Amino acid sequence: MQLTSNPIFGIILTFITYIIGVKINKKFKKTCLNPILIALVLIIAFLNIFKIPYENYCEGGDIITMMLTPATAVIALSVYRQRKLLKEHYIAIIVGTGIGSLASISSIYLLGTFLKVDAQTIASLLPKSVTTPIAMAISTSIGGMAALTIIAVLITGVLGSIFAPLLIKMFKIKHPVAQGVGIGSCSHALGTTKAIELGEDIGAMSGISIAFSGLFTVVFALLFF
Amino acid sequence: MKIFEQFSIIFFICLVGTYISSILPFTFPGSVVSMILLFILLDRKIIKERAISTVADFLLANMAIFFVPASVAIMQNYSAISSILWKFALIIVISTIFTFFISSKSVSLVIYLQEKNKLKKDKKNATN
Repeated sequence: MQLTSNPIFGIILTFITYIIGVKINKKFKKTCLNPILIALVLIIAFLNIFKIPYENYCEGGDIITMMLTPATAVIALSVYRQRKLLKEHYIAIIVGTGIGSLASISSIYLLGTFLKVDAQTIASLLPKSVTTPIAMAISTSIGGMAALTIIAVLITGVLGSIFAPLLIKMFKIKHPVAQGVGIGSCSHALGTTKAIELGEDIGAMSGISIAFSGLFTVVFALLFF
Repeated sequence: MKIFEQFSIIFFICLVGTYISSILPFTFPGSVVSMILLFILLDRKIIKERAISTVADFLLANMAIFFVPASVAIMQNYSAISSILWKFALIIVISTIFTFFISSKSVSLVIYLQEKNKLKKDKKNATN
């Protein structure tokens, strides 16, 4: 019996590294010091330094991952509290997520072709702006590799959660609905965690966009590829 | 007790949502089906906001931590991208920024047009 083969190990390591991540983030007030990114680096370093097998971490890690479903589901409460905003702007939300999905797919296809990336990698990247289960399903059905897609989705999400405030400023996006849809369309649930921090209205709009851009991306990807 | 009650409601909805997603003829994740389900239940007043709000607000405020273990899985698959790392990263960065720009600007444009339209209508009504 190893000390680390208990599920509690993975849970505690995740908690502690995340707490450190939040503390560092608060202290330096730099958005690039993202708590998820800090926790990720610390966990990988810890496992490598003490030669702990990844499988041991997974025992507890999987339990935390299981909580992703309820954590995503309760975005419904933010959406419910912001239902007035939703009913008022549903056309803008549908148009924004539709055009956004098209922009994501076409920009990846064009960039990939331009950089002479192989077809399998392009297929793996195409659905990267939507939430993981949808992205994986699209990827495998158009000839991509699920493992590559998971990495791409994750990097996209982390990018979104780090740079969302900067992008809002840079492109001068004023309306909270536009800010939320932008974040949700480009960086799914992980970006939404940042959107919730920026404001409940922005978080709710970002949450709705996960569902809409997921649907649009399924349709467009299967239509074109 | 309240916490258990709230967790039970949320978990039950997730259980049903995940099941619905498994029998759908197309791929749509259980978490998003659960989110839509919970919204409908709240909107129809079948579930009251305060029946889930303590736990839901806790989960919402700490959502990021639930992504950490899934991110560690990268470690397992890093070799898959190491050979094309720069192209891979470049495509992701550019297309993510582009997607944000296009989607948020189209929302701004639609809202702007709707407001302009409304203003025009109001003016018309005023002159009539």
